[in-house]
Amino acid sequence: MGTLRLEEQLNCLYEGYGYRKYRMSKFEDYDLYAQNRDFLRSGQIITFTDADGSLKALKPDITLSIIKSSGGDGEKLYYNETVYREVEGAFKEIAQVGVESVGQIDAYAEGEVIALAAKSLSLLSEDYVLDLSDISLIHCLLEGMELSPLDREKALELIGQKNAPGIQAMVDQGRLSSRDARTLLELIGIYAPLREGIAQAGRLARDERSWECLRQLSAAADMLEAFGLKGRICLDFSLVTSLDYYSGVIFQGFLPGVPFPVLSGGRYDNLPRKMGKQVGAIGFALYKGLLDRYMKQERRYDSDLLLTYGPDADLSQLASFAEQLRSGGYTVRCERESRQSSPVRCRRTIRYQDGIRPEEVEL
Amino acid sequence: MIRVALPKGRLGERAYEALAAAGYACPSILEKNRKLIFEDPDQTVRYFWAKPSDVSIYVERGAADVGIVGRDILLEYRPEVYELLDLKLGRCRMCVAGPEDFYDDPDRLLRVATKFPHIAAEYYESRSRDIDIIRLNGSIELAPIVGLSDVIVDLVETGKTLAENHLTPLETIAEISARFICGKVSYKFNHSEILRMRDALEKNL
Repeated sequence: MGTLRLEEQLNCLYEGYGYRKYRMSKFEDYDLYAQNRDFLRSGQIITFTDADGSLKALKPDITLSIIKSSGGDGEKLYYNETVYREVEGAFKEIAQVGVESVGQIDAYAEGEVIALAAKSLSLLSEDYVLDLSDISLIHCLLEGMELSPLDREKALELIGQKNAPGIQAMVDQGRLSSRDARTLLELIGIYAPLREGIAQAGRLARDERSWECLRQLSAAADMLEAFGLKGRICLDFSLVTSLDYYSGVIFQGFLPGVPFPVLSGGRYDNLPRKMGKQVGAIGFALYKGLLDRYMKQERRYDSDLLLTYGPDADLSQLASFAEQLRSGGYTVRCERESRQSSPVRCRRTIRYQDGIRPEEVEL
Repeated sequence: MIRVALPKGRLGERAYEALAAAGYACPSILEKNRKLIFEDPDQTVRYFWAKPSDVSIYVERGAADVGIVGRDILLEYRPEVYELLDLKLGRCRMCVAGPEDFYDDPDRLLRVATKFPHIAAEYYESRSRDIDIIRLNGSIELAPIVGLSDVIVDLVETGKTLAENHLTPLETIAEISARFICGKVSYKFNHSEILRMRDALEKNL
């Protein structure tokens, strides 16, 4: 699938739900990131001094800019942009496609964004996986366990690793009760389609707030069924990402053959609230760079045909011969014959002779 | 087919025995030859040997679905994998070791030689102790003897090598044993196969 076609398909999909395309400058005031460090995944940002002396940054993130510029109510946007982030000690250019819905986020708005995530993935592979978790529910369960901040952080890390031996070790060290350990073990064991998973998680809920989270998840499951995604989305509580960013439902998408999540998103009401806007927000980003790296069809040749010609060849006839082949759908590279071998790799190489006809070339 | 990365060496051989006993035998793996990849005749499992510290890389990047790896590697490299089971094989401890009469002078920067710089750094950071990490690739015991470092952070199984060199374990940082890990994305796509293997291994523990 060509990148261009995929881009158009995604644009079509999002516009079908009334999302507007959001375009933005590559630069942003550095202050935005300085004030919202908690919401950035990586610390390092490329900064520079603008002509007027103000400090600017190359965007490491799109969501912050969208929330900053949103007027307040009812924004549904999609974007196709490049961000600049530090990855393993070097700055990288990362291409992202994303969707953000800002405003009064009810069950419909939430379901719509999750459905768009699933439908984006389905454009890439029938066999996509979309997993969903709920940060608030994990919060509630951990709060009920009365852990120290350090042990709480450790417990979160262990949930993210589905780390059963680690949970047992915490019990052995007296940092976790066996009852709480059983809860955590059951929690990390849940991996099932949404409805089934919610039923399993129901056994772990101990207080009214946890029940409320499950009721909301159940409402989300209803919505997703209405969007035609019954049984397509799994519940998996090991998706614990940066807790500061997300505040409710979070989700990640996977494709066969790509060893990293290709899509990631969730509910992030804390960000607009922090900026003084009384709205909710939910969105996701699809990592286009990963798709290019893993899903692009491998090319084996630079062109189909390498056409070489000698000093005596009739060049205008050569040009029209090559044009005829190209109009037949082949890629043709013409090169003056030389003693050095050509640096390109072509499926076939033939030497041009005056009078040769396109039918005589076997490709 | 489930793809298993095994660590070369004794731990890997014992892990293979555990897998064979759990119903994932692959007789060709025992033949002495230079082959790198082994499949059982029914094609339910494919094994390959990797350098122990590389196993988690194969698993993390999806070239293997599951792998057997020491917890020391997981603590040092922090790969994005699920740690599903403690196989209770290859048990040892990650220790701070030093001369028998070692005294930690708080006024001095502590010099620590190790193959595990992240584990060492994290441990001393948790105790707010400034250290100078000296990263070595082998024969760590030599460092305090020739004055390269004050102490070492290393795996200790019986303590015999340490004792022969007049060194002794001073503090335990973590208990280590072999872990059954799986790739986070592999889990999504081969969930039931991977859990079947984990359950079969767990039954024999």
